[in-house]
Amino acid sequence: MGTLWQDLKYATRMLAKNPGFTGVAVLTLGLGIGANTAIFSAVNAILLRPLPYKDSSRIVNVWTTLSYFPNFKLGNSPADITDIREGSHVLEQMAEYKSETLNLTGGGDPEEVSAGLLSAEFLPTLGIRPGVGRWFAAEEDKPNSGVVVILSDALWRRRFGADPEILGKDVTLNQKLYRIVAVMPPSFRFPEKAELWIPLALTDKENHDRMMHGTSLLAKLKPGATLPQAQAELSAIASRLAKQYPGVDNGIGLSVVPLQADTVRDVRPALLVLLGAVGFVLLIACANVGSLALARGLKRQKEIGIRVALGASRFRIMRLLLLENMLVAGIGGALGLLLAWWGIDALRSWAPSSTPRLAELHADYGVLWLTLAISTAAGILFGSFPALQFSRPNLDAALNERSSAGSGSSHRSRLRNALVVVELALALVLLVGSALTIQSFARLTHVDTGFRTDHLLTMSVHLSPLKYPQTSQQTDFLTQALEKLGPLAGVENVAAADAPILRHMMKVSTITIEGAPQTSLASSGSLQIKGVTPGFFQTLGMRLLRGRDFAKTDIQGAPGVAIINESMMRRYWPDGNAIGKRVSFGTGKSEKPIWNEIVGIVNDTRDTSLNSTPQPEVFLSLWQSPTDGIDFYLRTSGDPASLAPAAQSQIWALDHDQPVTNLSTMEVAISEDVAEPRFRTMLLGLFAVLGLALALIGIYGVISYSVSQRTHEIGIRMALGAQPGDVMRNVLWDGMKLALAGLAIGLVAAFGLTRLMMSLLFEVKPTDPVTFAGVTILLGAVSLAACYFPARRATQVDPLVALRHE
Amino acid sequence: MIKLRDVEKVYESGAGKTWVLRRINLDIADGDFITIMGPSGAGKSTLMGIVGMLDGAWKGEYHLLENAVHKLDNRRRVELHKKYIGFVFQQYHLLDNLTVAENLDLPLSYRDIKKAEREGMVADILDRFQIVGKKALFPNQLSGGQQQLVAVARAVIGKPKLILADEPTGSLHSSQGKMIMDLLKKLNQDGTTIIQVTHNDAWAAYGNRIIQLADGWIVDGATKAGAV
Repeated sequence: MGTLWQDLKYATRMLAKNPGFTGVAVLTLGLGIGANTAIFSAVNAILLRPLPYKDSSRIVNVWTTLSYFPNFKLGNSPADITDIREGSHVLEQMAEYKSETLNLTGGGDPEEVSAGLLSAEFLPTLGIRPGVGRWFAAEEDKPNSGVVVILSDALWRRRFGADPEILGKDVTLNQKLYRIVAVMPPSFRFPEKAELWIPLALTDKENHDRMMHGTSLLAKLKPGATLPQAQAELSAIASRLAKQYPGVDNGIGLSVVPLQADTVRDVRPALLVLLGAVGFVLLIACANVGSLALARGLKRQKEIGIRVALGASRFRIMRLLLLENMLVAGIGGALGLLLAWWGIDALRSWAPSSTPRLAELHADYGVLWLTLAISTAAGILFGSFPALQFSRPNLDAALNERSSAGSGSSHRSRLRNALVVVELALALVLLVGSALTIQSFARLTHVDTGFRTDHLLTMSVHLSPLKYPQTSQQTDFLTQALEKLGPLAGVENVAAADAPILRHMMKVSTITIEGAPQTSLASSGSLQIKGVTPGFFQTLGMRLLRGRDFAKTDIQGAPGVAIINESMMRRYWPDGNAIGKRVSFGTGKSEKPIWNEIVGIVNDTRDTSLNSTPQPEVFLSLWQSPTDGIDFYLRTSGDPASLAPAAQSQIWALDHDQPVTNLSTMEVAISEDVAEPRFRTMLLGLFAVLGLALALIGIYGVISYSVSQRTHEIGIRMALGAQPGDVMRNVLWDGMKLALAGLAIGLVAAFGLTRLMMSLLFEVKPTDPVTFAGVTILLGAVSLAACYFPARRATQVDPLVALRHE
Repeated sequence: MIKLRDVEKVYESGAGKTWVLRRINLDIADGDFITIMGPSGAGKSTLMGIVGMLDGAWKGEYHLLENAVHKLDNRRRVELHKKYIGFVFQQYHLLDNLTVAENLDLPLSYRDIKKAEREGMVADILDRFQIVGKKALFPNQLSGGQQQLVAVARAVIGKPKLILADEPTGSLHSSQGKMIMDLLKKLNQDGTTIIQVTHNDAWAAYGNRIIQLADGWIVDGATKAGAV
């Protein structure tokens, strides 16, 4: 132990006496370790760590799939849930939930809040207790008795000033009073974004409904049961339901998905790609520091030789060298810890708010241990090569200070060269991955949306069903709101729809075409459906290709009308002859068709999200299909953001208890839509730049060292008549051989690895040849530049001085 | 003390074999002060490396104090080296980043001697070589003679039975050289066997026997009876 302490003391002194090496190595490792710790912390918090619920590994969601909506997972109908409850022997502790938005009024401006509607078994199933107060009683989960509410910690603080006497007070939601019975702990946010919870309290009628697939079902696998067993059982139940209720459950399927996988499904690919990228950065950093340590070891052969001559065993020499490298890794780790601490805060601040489990990401002791583990791994990774290489020195050469240009030396040189080749290969993969995402992001942000995104203000209004229960009331509100918004100074056009644009929301339906052969629901295909007011297409800047827009006369009671987009026309009327045809929408399950005549055709748009392919879409007159959820669109002549307060005031002038949400310009909506790809593009770009810089330092270091080792040889060459150009070419070729080898290996690796990014790319192939060629040329050029400076130094060698060098 | 029989050292390269030492037969008795002489490339340092067990790649038989070195593995040779041998080099070979006291402590630490005992031994040797005042200095703060003095002190601190001194005065001027040679003579008189390499006839005269090497062969002085 005493000698270990002594070696540690000497190692510290050695590092202090070599501030150049120590500084570069610590900084390099610090950046690599910091980036890895921060990203791995995110992966751990979001993907790996069990959800903070009791027996979380057994908790699953049960979803309904419908063959005619193949891309969607839906909630379940309450009647189907009853059958699942009765028929399942593998699932237990089942609980229903729904997500809704409610209007919160009183005690401040009205606001729309996300609410979880939960059955009484829900929190006991998760094993969660309220922070203060109590959970819903079973009798409160019944119609007309569920007038209790539980607040989230965030809402309690934000809206109620963390009132310690909050329990027992009333709050108004959708014009109805609810009594506050509990406040949840800060960590609880389920369903995601929920700010309060009320009992689900389904009515008898709702409980017997088999049409509306809006209720999510949570359950636990019984101890010992497996996911495949549960899936097999649910598939059997679904088949039975399809046979038993062919009118409504035809084409139904049931799918069981672990809750954790469901929660993180959307961010998983991006996080894994980021983890791979930072892993590459750390490997490059280790190769770089390993290369530096090898060069330093060559200079220390005499010292090591002396130690051996004084009786040091190979173990002691290896221990000393490894200690030095572990010390570098330790200091690098300390720097990395600081960077990770800051990085985790930055991730929390910069990550899109839609990222699941973001609240669970924080710097804690786990990060400290993680940093320690990564630092130790890095220290062993880059430190073991030099320790193994130099613990058996050529004593004759070392002690007699002769050049050790024997096999050992060339072996070490090859090892350093190999490290540089690896660095460049890794850097190329990183750069290609990053360039692909940058291209993808650029294409995403410049994609043709099919409508004008400038000078457009949007806002959403959800009318309270208690205050506006009749469609006539909803129509009145809509009419008055349009009349108030239209005359606002700076407003050119105003229109409304029943679905927001670029909010990843859509309404889907099936279609029946009059006169067409009766087809099954599954084969008729699904399409998006949207109710809009007259002037909607003009307000958004869409093109009416054929026919007419909706008119003010297209109201309830008048013949039904519809306008379709190009994709829909291509699917159902490829001859272009759609105008005048009559279609009916809806599930078609035991309903009498309501026919709508197609009166116009408009261009395709990407209105669900920028990266969605335009789908067949049908527009109905909002006057003929009013709803309580309205989205307003205002085309403005000036800055649309400046009109936001006035627009909100006009809505409040109609109803001061009416919350206004999503009040933003379309450009802000687009910015929010691309927040996630922008964030990962930024991070990947950052890691690629870091990797590139480290790789260039690596190749510069190797060529510089090679030039310093070859001073004597270069002197002889120049004495024999070599011109500076000859020396320059010679040195550059030495460097470029390594660069070309690295680029070749990197290209092969990138070709294989970028395929893993497929799901993250938009309109760019993962093997895009232009990207591959561009990055290769760029990396080759900067490698050439990195070799140029040592090469130029080589041309300035004075033969007389160089020949005295040895 | 030392018995070498048919010791040979060869470097193999693409161009063929290069013999550095040929059929070396040598007997050295306990308490001898041997001088090895010869022109550059004669194999002097190579022979010192083999005797000091710094070089393991050779053929023949080597006995040190009844230990058949040629039969020992590397670990046992390291043990033997630590126990019996001290080195003095022409270039001193002090470690630049260690103080005088730490340089002296280094070989002891490699012998796994306890710290308190090591501190006592270092204090003794500093006192004996009258360099107590220099103990906290680094090598670059010492003159060449002082550095070699420390190097000799470091070689003897482990109380070796054999000191191998490869041109110990090669980098010193004559007065410093004489001081070091007097010191080696004194150590020899106290019972330490010494083998030195030198080109200087005056320093060679400090020994009781001179061995001449040429082209890897012993040409004179292999045993007291004469060359083989």
